[in-house]
Parts: sequence; C-alpha cells; structure tokens
Amino acid sequence: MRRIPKGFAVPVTGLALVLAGCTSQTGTGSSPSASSSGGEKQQLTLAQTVDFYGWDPSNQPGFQGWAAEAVWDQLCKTDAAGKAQPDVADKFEVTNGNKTFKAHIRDGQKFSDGTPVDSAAVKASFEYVTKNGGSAADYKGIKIDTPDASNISITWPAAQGPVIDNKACAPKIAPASFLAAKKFDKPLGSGPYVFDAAASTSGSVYTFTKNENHWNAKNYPYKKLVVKVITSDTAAVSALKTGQIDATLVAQPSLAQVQASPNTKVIKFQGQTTRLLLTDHLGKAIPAIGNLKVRQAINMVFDKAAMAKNLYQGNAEPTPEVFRKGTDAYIGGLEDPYPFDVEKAKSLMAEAGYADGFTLNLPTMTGQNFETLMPYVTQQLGKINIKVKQVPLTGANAISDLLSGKYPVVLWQLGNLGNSALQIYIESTPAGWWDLMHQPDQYVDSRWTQITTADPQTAAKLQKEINQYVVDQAWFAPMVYNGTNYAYNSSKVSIPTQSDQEALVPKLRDFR
Amino acid sequence: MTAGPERTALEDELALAKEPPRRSVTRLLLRHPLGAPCLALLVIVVLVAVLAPWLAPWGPQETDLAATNAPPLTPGHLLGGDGAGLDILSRLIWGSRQTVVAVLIVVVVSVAVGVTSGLVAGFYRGRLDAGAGFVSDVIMSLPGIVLLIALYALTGPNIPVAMAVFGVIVAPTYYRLVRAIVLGVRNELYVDAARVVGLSDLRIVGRHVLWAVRAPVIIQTSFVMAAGIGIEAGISFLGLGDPASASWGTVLQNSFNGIYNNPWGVVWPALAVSLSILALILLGNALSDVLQSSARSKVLPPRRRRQVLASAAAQREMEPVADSIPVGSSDDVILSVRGLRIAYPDPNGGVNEVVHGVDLDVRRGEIHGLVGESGSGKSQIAFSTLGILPREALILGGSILLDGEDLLADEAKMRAARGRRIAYIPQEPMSNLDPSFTIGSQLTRGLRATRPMPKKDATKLLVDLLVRVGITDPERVLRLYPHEISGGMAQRVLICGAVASDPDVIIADEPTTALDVTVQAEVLELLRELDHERGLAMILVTHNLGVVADICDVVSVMKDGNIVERADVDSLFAAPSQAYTQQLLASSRTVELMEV
Amino acid sequence: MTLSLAKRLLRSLAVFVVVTFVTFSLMYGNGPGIAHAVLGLNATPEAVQAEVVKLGLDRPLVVQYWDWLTGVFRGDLGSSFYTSESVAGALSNRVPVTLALVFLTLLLTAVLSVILGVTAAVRGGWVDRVLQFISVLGTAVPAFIVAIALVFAFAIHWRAFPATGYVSPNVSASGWLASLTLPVLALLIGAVAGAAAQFRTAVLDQLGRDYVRTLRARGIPEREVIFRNVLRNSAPPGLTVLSLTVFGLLGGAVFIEQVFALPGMGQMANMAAQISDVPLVMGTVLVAVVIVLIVNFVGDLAITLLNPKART
Repeated sequence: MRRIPKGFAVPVTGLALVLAGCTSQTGTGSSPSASSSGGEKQQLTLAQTVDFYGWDPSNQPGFQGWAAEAVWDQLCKTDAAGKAQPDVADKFEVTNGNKTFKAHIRDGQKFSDGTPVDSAAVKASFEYVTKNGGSAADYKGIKIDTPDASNISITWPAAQGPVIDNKACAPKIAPASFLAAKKFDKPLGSGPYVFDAAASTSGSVYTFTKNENHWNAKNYPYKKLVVKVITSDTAAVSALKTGQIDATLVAQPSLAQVQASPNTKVIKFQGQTTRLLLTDHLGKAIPAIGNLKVRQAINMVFDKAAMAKNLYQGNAEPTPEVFRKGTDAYIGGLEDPYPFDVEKAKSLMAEAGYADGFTLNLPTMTGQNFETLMPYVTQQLGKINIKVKQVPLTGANAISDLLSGKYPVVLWQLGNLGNSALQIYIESTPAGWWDLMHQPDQYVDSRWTQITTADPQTAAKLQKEINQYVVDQAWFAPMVYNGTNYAYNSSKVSIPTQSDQEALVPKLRDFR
Repeated sequence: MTAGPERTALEDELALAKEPPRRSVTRLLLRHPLGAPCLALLVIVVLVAVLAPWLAPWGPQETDLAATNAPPLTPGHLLGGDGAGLDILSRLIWGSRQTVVAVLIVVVVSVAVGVTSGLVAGFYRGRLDAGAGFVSDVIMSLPGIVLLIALYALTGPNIPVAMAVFGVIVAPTYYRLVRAIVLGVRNELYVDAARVVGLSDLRIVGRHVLWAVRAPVIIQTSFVMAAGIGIEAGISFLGLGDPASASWGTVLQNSFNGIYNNPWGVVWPALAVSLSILALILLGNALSDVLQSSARSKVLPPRRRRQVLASAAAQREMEPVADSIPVGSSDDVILSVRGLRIAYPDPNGGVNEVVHGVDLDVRRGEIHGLVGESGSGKSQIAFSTLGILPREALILGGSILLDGEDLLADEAKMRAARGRRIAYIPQEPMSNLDPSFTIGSQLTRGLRATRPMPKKDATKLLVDLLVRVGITDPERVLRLYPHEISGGMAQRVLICGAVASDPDVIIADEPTTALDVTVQAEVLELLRELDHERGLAMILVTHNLGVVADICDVVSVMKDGNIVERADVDSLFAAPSQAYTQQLLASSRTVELMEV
Repeated sequence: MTLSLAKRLLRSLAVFVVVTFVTFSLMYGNGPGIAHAVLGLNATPEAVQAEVVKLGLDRPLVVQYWDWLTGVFRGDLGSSFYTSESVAGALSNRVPVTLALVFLTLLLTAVLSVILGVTAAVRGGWVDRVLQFISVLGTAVPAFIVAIALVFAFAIHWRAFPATGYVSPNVSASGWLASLTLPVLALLIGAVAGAAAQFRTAVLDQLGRDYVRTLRARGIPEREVIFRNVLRNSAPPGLTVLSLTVFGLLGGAVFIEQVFALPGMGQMANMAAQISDVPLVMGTVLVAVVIVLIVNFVGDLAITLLNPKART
C-alpha cells in the first residue's frame, strides 16, 4: 500500500488523506501514446493513487486533482507561492483592506454545453460553495456583486489578509443550472479538457479530450488526457516502467528502482515537514504539554540527521522550523535551538517536575509512513519517560477523529505551503483545522489580525515573528523536510514549471 | 470400517492382517515420517512464543537507526533490519506470540461453536438440526473477508476479535463433520444400550459419541490452525492489522512495502508463515494416517515390494515341497492352486502372511466348498484366482493353473481369463452393482467385454438368461437401476452376469449370506442347477456348514491360512479327521439345536 | 422433486436475507462519522447533521435495511454515499472482472484436479506422492504470497506478462487473457492443490468399493471401469468440491485484486468497507451471496440429477 502524505489544499476531501482503503483499478487498455513532432501531442496518461469522490465541484480533492483541473476553471489559479494568477478572470485586484476580490471575466469563454461563462455563473459557483462542501466556513457571510456580465466582486465580512487569493481561487466555476440540479454523475465546466464519459470507468480510468476553444489551449499540448487510478505503488512503478503510464507519484521505497530506470526523471518535492504537533500549549488536556520545558525536552530527543539518513534514505533534510524554504515566514540560517541531547532533555523534564514522565496517546493511520517513523519516535520519547500508546484510527471516522482535538499531540508528515501565511492560519490560529486544540494565543492572534490587513512587506515581517515565536514556544517538534517524489517518462513528457503551492505534485498545467 | 451393513469376509481378513498392535497415538505419530518433524517445528514455535522475552535480541519496537534496511548477517541483526530500523529476527520472535494467540482463539471458538452444535444437532435431530443447518448455511455464505474488513472499520485493528469472528466463520466445517459422524454413531447398538441402561444424554454424548468424533476433530483442527495463520497474515497484509504489534503478517506487510530497498526482508516472514502452515497441514495428514485407516493407500513402495518378493522366492528354493498334491493328477481338474502364499504389508513396514501355501483342485462339474471361520483366508484364495486382490496384496509364491496354464505367471492370461473363463458371484448384491447405471447397461457391457457381439444379440442372450435365473420381467428389469430392485433379484442379476459369458469356473463368495432365508434356498437351488446344466466348476466360499451340506460335492476346510482337511461332503460330515473340523461341526450343530 | 426444489429456493432466499442483514448491521450506527467523511474536513456540525438526514442514516437499523432490501427487489441498489454513483453502475464495471478471474480459475481447476486426482488415485506410486507434495505446498503458501512471487518473477524480472492492470475483452481479447494470466495462476495453485487432493480421495473411495471389483471381475477393461463407472460415481463429491472451491476463490479474489491492481468487486468491497460506504458494500455482498447461492443451488441440482435414486 502506498504511503501518501497529507495535503493541505483547500478544499480538501477528508478521505483523500485516508489511504486505508485501496481502490485498485486500472483502466482499459492503454494505447501507447505517440507524440507527434511539433506542438500537439497525442495523449498524456497519469496515474492517481486514490480515486476521487464523484463530480461535485465543492468536494474535489486538491491533492492529485488533475481530473477537476481538467474540466473546471476557477476564477483565478494560485501559483506555487499562493498568489493568484489569471484564469476565468483576466484582471483582478484585492481592495477594501483585503476584504474584497474584484475581477474582470475574460471574454468569449464557454462551458462545454455552449453556455457563456459570465458573472452569473461565477456568482452561482461562489454561492454554491458557501452552502456545500467542506470549506463552506471559508465563505460564510460573503457578499457578491455583479455590476454586469463581465465583472464581479466578492466581499468577505472580515479582512482576509494573504489568504484571500486562496479563497477567491478555490471555487470551481460551473453553470448555475448545473449546480442547482445537483446531479453530479458527469462534470460540466469550461476547463481545458472535456470529460469523455463513454471512455471512462468510474474508480478506474477517466478520459478527457482537449477543449480547443479554451482560452489557454496552447498551454495544454496533449489532445487526450487519461487518468488511471492505481493505488498500489508496485503496480504504478511497473506501469511506468512498461510505458502504460507517463507519470506517477512514487513512494520512497521504490525511489531507487525508479531512478535507475532509463528515460525516467524524478522530481523531488519538499512539501512536507515531519513533526510532532504539540497543540495543547495551555495544558488543558495534557498538563505536561502545557509546560514549555516539557515541549522543549520533546524537541531534543530526536536525532534529525540520523532520521534523514536512515528512515528517509537521505531523501530528507533536518530542520528546526516548519515553514518551507523561500516562503515569507521562513527564517534562513536559523540555528536549531533544540539540538539532539537526550541528557539535557531529561534534566529539562526533571526541572519541569516530570522526571517520571506521563502517558501520551499518539494516533496513527495507514498510508502515512507511521510504520517507519513510529518505532523511533516511540523509543526516543520513551527515553524521557513519555510512554506512547499508539491509537490506530480507522474507518469513516478516522479523519474527523484526528482533527477533533481528542489527540492534542499528533505525529504527522504535515505539509508546508507556498503561501506561509495560509500555513500559519491553518496550524497556529484558533480557526485553523490543524490547530487541534484551537487555543488562543495573544502574540500569534494579534499578529495574524495585523497580517490580514497589512501590506506584503509588513506581512512577511510579521510572519517571521510568528515563526520565531512558535519555535521558541516549541509548539511543534520539527524533524525533517521531506516530500513526495514524482516520476515521469522524460523521453515523452516534460514538467518545466511547478504550480502547486503544496509542493506535492505537479499541476495539470505544468505538464508539457 | 463400515459400521452399518455386515462386513464381508474379505474385509474381516484384511482387517486382521492390517490391525496394528495397540500403541499410543503419540508414539505412532512420532514414528510417522512426517509426524516428528512437524510436531517439532510447532513445538519450537510455541516455545519461541513463550520464551520470546529471553530469546529476542531486541525489543519488538526497539529501533537501531543504523540498521535501517540492513541486509541479513549484519552484526547484531541476523536477518537484517526493516525500514524503521527494527530487527526482523526479533520481530518474528515476538510476532510468534500473536500468531500463537490468534490461532488459539480461532481454534477455541470454532471448536466450541462447531463441535457443540454438531453434537447437539446430530444427536437430537429434529428442529435443532434444521435450525443449526440453516445457521451453518448462512455462515458459510457470509463473505468472510468483507465481513472482516467491515469489522475493522468498526473496531479498528483488533486481531483477537477478528480471529474470533473467523473462528465462527470456520465453525461450520466442524459442525458438518461432527454431525455426520454423530448421525452415523447414534444408531449404533451401544448407544441404544446406554440409553436403555439409563445413562443421561449428556453422559452418552460426552463419553461415547465424543469419543467417536475425536479423531476427525483433531485432524480438522490441524487444518483450521493452518487456515488461522494464513488469515492472520492476510489480514495484516491488507493493512488491517495492528501496526504497533509485531505479528508475522505486519512484518510481511512492512517488508513488502519496502521490498525494493531490502528484498530479503520479505523472505523471512513469508517463510515463517508458510513453514508453519506447511507443518500444520502435514501434521494433519500424519494424524489422519495414524488415527484413521484413511484414504492413503498402504501399497508398499516398488523397491520394497521387489525386496519382499525376492526374499520370498529365495525362501521357496530352500523349503522342501511338502504335502502337495501332484499336479495333473486328474484330467478332470480344470482349476488348480498350488502353494499359494499371500501376504499384506503390516504397519511396521514388514509383511504379514495370511495364506500359507495352499493347494486346491477343482474338477469340472464339481461344487467345491471352501469353509472356514472369518479371517481364515478363504476369500483371499477366491480373489487371487480372479486376480482382483487389493493393490496392496503381495503374492509371495505359488501358481494358479487353469487348464494347465499358470495364470499367476502371465498377467495377460489372467486378464483374458477373468470374466470369460473364471467368473465371480459376490456376496452383497446391492453394493456390487454400480448405482449410477442401469442393470441392462452393466450386464451388457460385462457380456460384450468378454464375448464381443452386437448389442442386440447380447440383450437377447441376457433376457433369456434372466428368465432362466428366475426373473419374470426381464426387459423391464434391464431398464431399472440397482436401487429399484430387491436384494434377491439383485443376486440373481449378478448370477446372470457371471454366467452369461459362459465361463468354466465360477467363484462364488458367500453368495447367500446377505439374503433372506427363503431366498437363500432358491438361490442355492439355482446355482446347483446351473452348475449341472453347464458342467461348471464352482468354488463356493462359505462359513455356513448348512450350505456346504446342501450343495457341495467336495469340501476344503481352512484355518489360519492353511487347508487342514479336504474330503468329499459325505465323508467330512460323517467322519471328520481333523480336530478343527470336528470342532466346527460340533459348534454348528449346537447352534442349530439352539435355533430349534 | 419440484417441491424439494421450491423448498431449496426458499431456504436460499432466507439465507440471503440473513446474510445481508448481518453485514448491514455491522456498518450501522456510524451515521455522523460517514457524513463527516463525505463532506470533508471543514464540514460544520450543521452540514454534517443535514447530510446524515439526507443519506437517511438517522433511521433505525431495520428501517434502513428494509429500505435497501425492497430497493433490491425493485432493481434499485442505491448510490454511493461518497460519489453519488449508482451502485448498479459501479457493479456492472467491477463484477465482470471478478467473475472472469473466478470462473477462469474454476474451469482450469476443474480440469486439472480431475486429471491429477484420477491419475494419483489410480496409478499411485510416485505420481500420487508428487501430487500430495504439491497439494500440501499449494495449500500451505497463502495465495497473496504466491501472487507477490509471481509479480516479481514474471512481470518485473522476465517481463513476460503485465504486472498489473486489466484489459477489457472488448478492447483486446489477447490483452484480456494476458492481463488475467498471472492472477489466475496465483489463485489456481492453491485451488488445484486442495481440489485435486479431495478429488483423489473421492476416486480412491470409489475404487475401494465392491462394485468396482465386480466390474473388474466381469472382465471389463480397467480403462472403462475408471473412466466410465468410477468417474461417474465420483462426480457428486467432485461437484461438491468445486462449489466449495468457488467460495474460496471469491475470498481469495480480494487479495489477488489488490496485488495485481484489478478493478474487481473485491477491491471495491475492500475500499468501501473501510470507509463504511454502505450502499457499495451491500452491493458487493449482494453479488457475492447471490453467486454463492446460485453455485450451491446448481451444484445440488446437478448432484440430484446425477443420482438415479432422486429421479424416480
């Protein structure tokens, strides 16, 4: 079974994260895709490690969401840094103190049923996600203004700060009638491809043909797109080697094999920071965790370098902070305030009054690399007398249990985002879903409020301050940067750009 | 051995030949070539499980980062390390605990549920039986794997519960097994006797019935344990196991996920699982051999067979030929047996001689009675003339001369004579007819096999012959199946079949023993008539001296594989020369008197 | 005979209802969890509650089950909680794959185990010993381990067969066969191992019977005795063995579909059961139970027809 990291993307379908279930299907015969000389190429065949759940536009996964990206456009698309780029809207601006997103809709776009893409459709699309899907809370109370068919502005009740781009770029644009009918056996959108239901088998293979009238048609050289669902890593690797697919995520253990294959290149993303989240900094559920010295001690029992070298076969990098390199919140050259020192950790625990330690429940889930990490983490925590009890989360409740706050301390290969402000929002502010205990903190919350209305330079400075604070307060125990590996057939496909702000997989628009 | 219908004489003899001396099961098991190694392996697994804390070099969750994906024979890690730095050998040792516990749970649950319900259903029958049968069908139709997965979604990785559920799923196999045996046993006389005496049902079931059931249950348990190990590994492989534990299945799953980094890692858990299952299955087979005379054939391996025959031949050279009737002493003799020795393999690998050099002559038109108690060897001689001894039988020496030609020396001659010149009338009519084919088809094929002729002619011949043997509506009978005719009619059919090919010799093996008294007389009369009509020679094997007195001309008395006396009927009854013959006559008269 | 047939049908129906009810109740009670999972991470409690009602998960167990059961008889198997895709549609894609796998294996198992079983029983000697050896090995090594070994040997090492994936027969008949070769082989080994041994036992049992001896004594050639009479009488237990084999194959298919990435219903059941997508699980259970009941029914029928006693 493949180990797939959790993505951040908003909106995120809970179950895209849970790989306990394996739908392993591959589709009907793969026709070898010859690429003609010149711009136009015949077929791009991608493998996807999980199936997605139907064609409800409000419930599409961001991780490996090539199918959704193929059939729908959004008002704008975020780039790797989380900044809005033109899509349905060719011009846009953020005004009104980061409360309003004002956009001009490009002329001449049509949905695949022939109806025009206008402000009414965009309005309906935004209204739809306000009431449906997992991210409804993000759009609570918005007001939508459509002065004419080509212009639209969306206003949030409170300042959104750096996350306004994400929120504006998220909803899929679909016709009002399609959304009202709520019949989602087939998608309807204005994206670069059109869904070919006849050549598709749900849960197995999805086929798309190019929309020649798309505004950005030249960005998508392939006439046909095929997405196959292959949950087994071994299966995907062999499919890649035998040419049945052109590109796929590859799990760590298969990496060496794939790299050794001819005509195969691997993009190593570093979209994740493996860490313990110590979210009960007020000590409400686990008093010990409320003690700074305890959290610091926890930070000091892990030999990050050894982890990177052994548990990740060198495909990881030790880090003292949770934010990605190059993002606004990232502090370059930060010296690790918690070097590997078990003795020091023990004395810290003693000082805190927890020399005898305590019991800690750590949730686990299949497919998240716990088999590799848990033994070491458990062992090291055991050295400062923290007795770890593993709690496997299963079934339909797994995700909601994980994020419910039942387990204030969680070990996770949590993503880092290109838009670090968004990451701060998600992990460190009470409203964020990875701030599991949702506890307020004056320092962070006040700065966040400022960030929502600040200009970019000030915002960046404030983000760094929050980062430093979070490090000093040991709200996390960061271990290594690691990431996904994306392998592709380099004699046929090239991936020159990288648009995923989660840095997990290339977006559809990155393939050439 | 069949508990139902009367055993045939041959079965008696074979049983005696093969009866192992009373020995404890464990010793027998250990002597079985597979028994000892399998038992040893399983004992080792259990010991490893119990002694894990002392045996395992590392703790089950103890990681050594430097040993990540280490190959086998790394210092400190004999079988290598997995992707998390855990020692594979230690994990397998610790994992044996979960394996042992899982298997125990499966066995306990399935035996408790299955055996109990089988006992109850078979013993009390009626509604309990119908209800239990229905439940068993339901359980067997349940999609086991899907259930276990759904259970996982409900309870999380809880191997004990999953194994208990699997135990319930497996229980119907015990249920069916036990119920079938109980059904057979409850009609036994000894159960009725126990009831009459006043033993409570619980006591009857507990002591007598349970005793009958113990062998198959033990054998089945071995296979169930094997299945339990397989399921535990499979479930963990699917990802439903407890990741924190070190079960063999989890180790296999982890190794499989990391197979490109450390290919050897898969081999060890796969071996552990496969070898344990293998040992259990072989143990089951061994138990089956030891506890039951099961379907495994007792034929000696070819080399051993040759050895035995060679030593027998050598022995023959050395022994003086004693007391044998000179060959060719009378032109009337159609069938001659000289110095026939037959043996069977015994459980210890040796052979057990059951016929010790027998001589016999049969003249044309003569009905030669072959008398003796059960196990005396009379049926052996009868079968050897036809060449239909069981496969495990060994003919150590002697000859069977048909019109001067030795059939034992030439297989082709034996085959040519069988059915054509020497014919057979069996004892138990119903079991000697193929239940799936019509009487007509069996008779016709038999006839045409020895006397090729068009089907029409064969049918006509048979119809006439059936009338002759006393069947009034032959055309109808030809179309019937064996279960549609009575025992008496069936015996007549068999006689017809024997006689149809116009043989010279008839071997009749207790032809009337299984028939009603009234029918017996008729059949005997029929045999005598046929014999005189056609000038047949007949060997009539029987233990019933009344029959002998009735139709035999000459009698040979057998005891323990030897012919002790040979005389014509009148002389034998009037003045038996041997003590044994006198004993026989005396006791049969006593019985007759008592019957009167 | 019609009466007993009708009784059997009724019984099968009762079994069907009980089995599906048991499976259904295993997944009952998880309403809010399922709703939350369907909606995703950020679902508000109100949204979750609305979803629970929409999916009908707040109704009592018996009501939900009854609803499903009546739907089945109407031909409506419901829709997936997660994708809203119709269960019948999903099944129509998946079931043929599993059926192809199971019945190809069954066919080959039948042929091979009859040949092997008869040979071993009749000739004994080294053939018998080899069969027993293979039989034990085949039953000992779990099918998924065999499958893994096959993938590595034939697909990755020797590149003779596709390692994974399924080619529909509509697309290419030869591709279809190629994609099923290794999966069938993985299942076949274990199936033949068991079935051949049992068939051997059945044949040996017949060979030990009196009528066989009498037929031989008649002078009927051995070949005819074996291939006409013994085989005919071994057919009923042989059919029983085969119907048991189907049952085992259905279970093994889940593992095989996993290793070879075949889009069958075993895989769908695996995934659906783990996230409690009740309609999909019930759909696969439905198909599985129906297959089992039909196979048992047909097998019993065939055995009855073969038995002269039952024909009168």
